[in-house]
Amino acid sequence: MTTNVARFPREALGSTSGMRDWRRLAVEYNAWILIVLLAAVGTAVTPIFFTVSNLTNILEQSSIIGVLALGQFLVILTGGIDLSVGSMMALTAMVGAMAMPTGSPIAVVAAVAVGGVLGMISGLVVVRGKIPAFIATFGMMAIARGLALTAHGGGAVNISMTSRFAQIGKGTFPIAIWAVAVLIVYVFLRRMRTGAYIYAVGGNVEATRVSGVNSGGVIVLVYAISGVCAAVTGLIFVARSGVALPTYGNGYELQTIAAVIVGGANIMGGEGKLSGAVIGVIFMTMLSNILDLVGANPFWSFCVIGAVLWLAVMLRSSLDRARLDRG
Amino acid sequence: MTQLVEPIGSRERTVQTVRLRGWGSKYAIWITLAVLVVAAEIVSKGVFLDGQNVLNILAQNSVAGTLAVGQTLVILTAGIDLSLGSITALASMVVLLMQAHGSLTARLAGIGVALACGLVNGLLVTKGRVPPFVATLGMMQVALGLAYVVSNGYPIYEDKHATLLFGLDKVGPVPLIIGVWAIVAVIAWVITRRTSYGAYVYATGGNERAARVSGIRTDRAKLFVYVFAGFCAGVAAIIWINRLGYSAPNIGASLTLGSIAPVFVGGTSPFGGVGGVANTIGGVLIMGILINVMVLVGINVNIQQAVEGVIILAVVYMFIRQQRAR
Repeated sequence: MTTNVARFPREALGSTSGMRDWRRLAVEYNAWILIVLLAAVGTAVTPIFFTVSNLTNILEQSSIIGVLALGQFLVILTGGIDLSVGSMMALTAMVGAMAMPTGSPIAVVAAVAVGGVLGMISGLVVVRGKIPAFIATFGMMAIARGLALTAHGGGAVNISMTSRFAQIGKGTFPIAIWAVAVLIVYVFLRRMRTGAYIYAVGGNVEATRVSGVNSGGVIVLVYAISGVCAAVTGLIFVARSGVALPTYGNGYELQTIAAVIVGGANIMGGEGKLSGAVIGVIFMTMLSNILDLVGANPFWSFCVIGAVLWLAVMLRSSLDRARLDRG
Repeated sequence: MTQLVEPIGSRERTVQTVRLRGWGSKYAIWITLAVLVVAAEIVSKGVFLDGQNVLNILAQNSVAGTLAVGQTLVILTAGIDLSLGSITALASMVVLLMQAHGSLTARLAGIGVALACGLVNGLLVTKGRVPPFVATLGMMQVALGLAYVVSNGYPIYEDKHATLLFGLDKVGPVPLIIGVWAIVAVIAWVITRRTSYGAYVYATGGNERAARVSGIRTDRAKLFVYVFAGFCAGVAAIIWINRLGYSAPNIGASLTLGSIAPVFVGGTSPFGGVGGVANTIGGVLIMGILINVMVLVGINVNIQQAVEGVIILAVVYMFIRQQRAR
């Protein structure tokens, strides 16, 4: 299965001019091109960049938002958007930390269940309520934040840093969690029928529904998965810092969306590679890492990310128009 | 994001029901507001309609309200502006960095920067064919980055308080920032309801293709709304500083979302073409009153956001059901 099921059959992309060919390759592999270029720049400007410890450091920083971005990626593939991931992460972190005294397995299950159920509710609001995903998850964002703030009277919840649970936040453990999550999503997208349906739903909900796929179910599922991803991220955050704050994840929803789009996914749904969702996150962390290493103001990274977003999407839309002109 | 095609059978209703329904939806927001005011007066045991309390509500919502006016125009064209909060943050940083040059120069510089950001958004959407969501998401990052860079990440305070106008911050008990918000709203209302530009804005959001085919320059209408939204962000920055005496580069995230919520609560369609500035003012007041009443009756302030979320979902759900019924 290629990534653009249903949208544009691969044959239709067959190109007559070198220029279009170049653009197609650039869109298809933009995430890889970006990351290689950036790594080359990093290596050129500072010797510290290409060292094991620095690269591990970049992966470590990426891993936390990386899990969150996986859920966002699946939602965007269906043509939706999940604005609630940041506040959902805060809520599940609070739930996990508050349930921690009853034992870490229960805490983990409780956090994941809250994330999954609230995500499912977002999905049902989209499917049953026919409310645009943007607004449905916008509402859920406010609801989850409100609940996170209410959970402990707006205060923080501490956990013991010597507990077994706290170990999952140490060292490279979050990277391992991210890797496992990526693997699960990979198997899901490539080896399971429901995974293929996700691309199909994003390509055209109506057509998919008419051809007998339970597209509503697929949509509910991706929001539930996104909620679970938020819960995992929330738990890693708690384990790492030893404290759950109701303000966690503020602004993460837009950061994850940016990462997914930088990684080459189409915001309209139906197109996007899993590798892009991984690289997009690494790209963003690597950028601020390099700026930091060369002593530049790391805040420039926001500006660069904004510009990269624009360029990636303009390139894609110019390609889409070239396709339409011929078809 | 899919739009469902209406079945033809739904046209079979009598004209009268449609009219009644139209009337109901047109005035629903004001009826809701009136009911809410009465309810607020009762549950707060008469504290609510105290002059000072009403002025407080208006002053507290003047930043979000000004931004929401700009956001309304963008949403009317079926777009969205996620960068308004960041632009406000950047403009406020510029104003405060320039404060030594006199408040007029500083404010003009701030509004200029905000207009420039809006212009870039508009050009990306019209010339670059970037979907509004992504174009303004990018601008959100760029403006946020610039706000951090120029301020080095620290809040900036006013050296000497700059009054809003001619040495005044208030006329009698009324804070002038309310007046500024009102002026922006009136300008936007006049543009949308009394000029051909406004008609183009509605037409673009209602059915872009049809508008374009009938000779409306939809690109101009779209460019205009993003520039106007940028202008609103510049004004909001001035109000913010006047009210709080400082600003920080990270104020943007909550402002953006705060500018979107009242637009939907006011009943402006997320698909464009329906609703307007007056609805949004109603939406701002409804949200403001609800929060105020929760504070007055002592409901845990932390749950407020959750209540807001539920209200947004409920209003949009009703709105969409009504649309489909028509």
